[in-house]
Amino acid sequence: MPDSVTRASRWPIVFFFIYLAVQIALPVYHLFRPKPTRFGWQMFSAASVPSRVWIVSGNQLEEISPGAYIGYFRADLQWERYALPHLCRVRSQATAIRYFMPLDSVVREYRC
Amino acid sequence: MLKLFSELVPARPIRLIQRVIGAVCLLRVIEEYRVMSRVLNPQTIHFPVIEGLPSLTLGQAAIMLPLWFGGAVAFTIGWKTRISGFVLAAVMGYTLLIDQQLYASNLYLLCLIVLLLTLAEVGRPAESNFVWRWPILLLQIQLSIVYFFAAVTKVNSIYLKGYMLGSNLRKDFPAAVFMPRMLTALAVVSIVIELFLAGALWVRRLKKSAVVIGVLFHVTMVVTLTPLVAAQLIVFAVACLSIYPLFFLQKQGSDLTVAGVSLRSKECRPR
Repeated sequence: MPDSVTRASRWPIVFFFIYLAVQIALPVYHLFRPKPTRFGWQMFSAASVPSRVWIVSGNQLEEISPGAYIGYFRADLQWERYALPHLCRVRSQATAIRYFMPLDSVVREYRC
Repeated sequence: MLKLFSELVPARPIRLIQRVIGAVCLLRVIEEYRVMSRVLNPQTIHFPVIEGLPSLTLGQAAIMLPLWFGGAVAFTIGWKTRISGFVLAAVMGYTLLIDQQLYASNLYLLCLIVLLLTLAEVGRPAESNFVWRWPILLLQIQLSIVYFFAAVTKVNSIYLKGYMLGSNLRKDFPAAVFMPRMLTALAVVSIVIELFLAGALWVRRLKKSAVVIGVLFHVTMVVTLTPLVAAQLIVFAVACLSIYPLFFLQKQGSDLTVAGVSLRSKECRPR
């Protein structure tokens, strides 16, 4: 390393390579995980939110909006992980939540 | 390779981009206020980005958003950009981590652009006509990374069957547009364009075509996709397109030229 590249001026070199490594490694890592996710430049690539949702209470079936109780509905939300338990909590009479994911052939069910 | 870290580029085009990006950050904070006021409502579901990281309260947001606004104003007018840039990047970066509903790729990209534009000035005299080249090179690489992974991640059955385009296209298009074959064709074309843009901006012969195609691509997205996402698409378009001029900064040996005017990479102070 030339003398001109002093310890004080090494930080740009370190930053440059760490930045590049992160910006390449992160999206590559997310390529092998369920889509869509964040920090992987996966805009409009897939959807992890249902297209239809029903609340099951005994023998009754009530359809609600997939965006119910969500402040800002995005296609990349981890809906199954966070929305299902929340729906069971706020709809105390619910025994299950049924939902239909994009391009699925079957209706999924989550028991409260 | 190490020479890169002592190379400079003219500050004028970079400062112009700073102003554009600062103005976009200003517009983005208005959108963020609208989204945040709904997401931080205690009635709505919390979607953590990082498990255990607490959500913001509306009171904390009332501190954060003015900080964002102030940082964006200062960055736009070029006042204390080294401080305002870091503050702006930090506030926007933190917003990305609060809740999945607050995450947006356009915000992530803005945050990275502000950070790199700020770093281009770190350690340079305020009155200097030049800034560091290495953060500018990172910005160029960043744009290619965005286009490349945007294309690659779209190679999946949901996107290729046209579900994503079908559900996001404006509903007032003729029914023929929503036919499965047409949606699949549009999906494939969008992937090809993004892959082309990822590489073509680096190839001298293709650069100008890439600019034309890139501008048309972003404008088409804004015009054809549902108005619900229009604001975010406009931000994303401006953020991406603001990086395009950087591909026209020409390097000649250790000197750099812009539009054919040679500029030595020495310190130039106004007399």
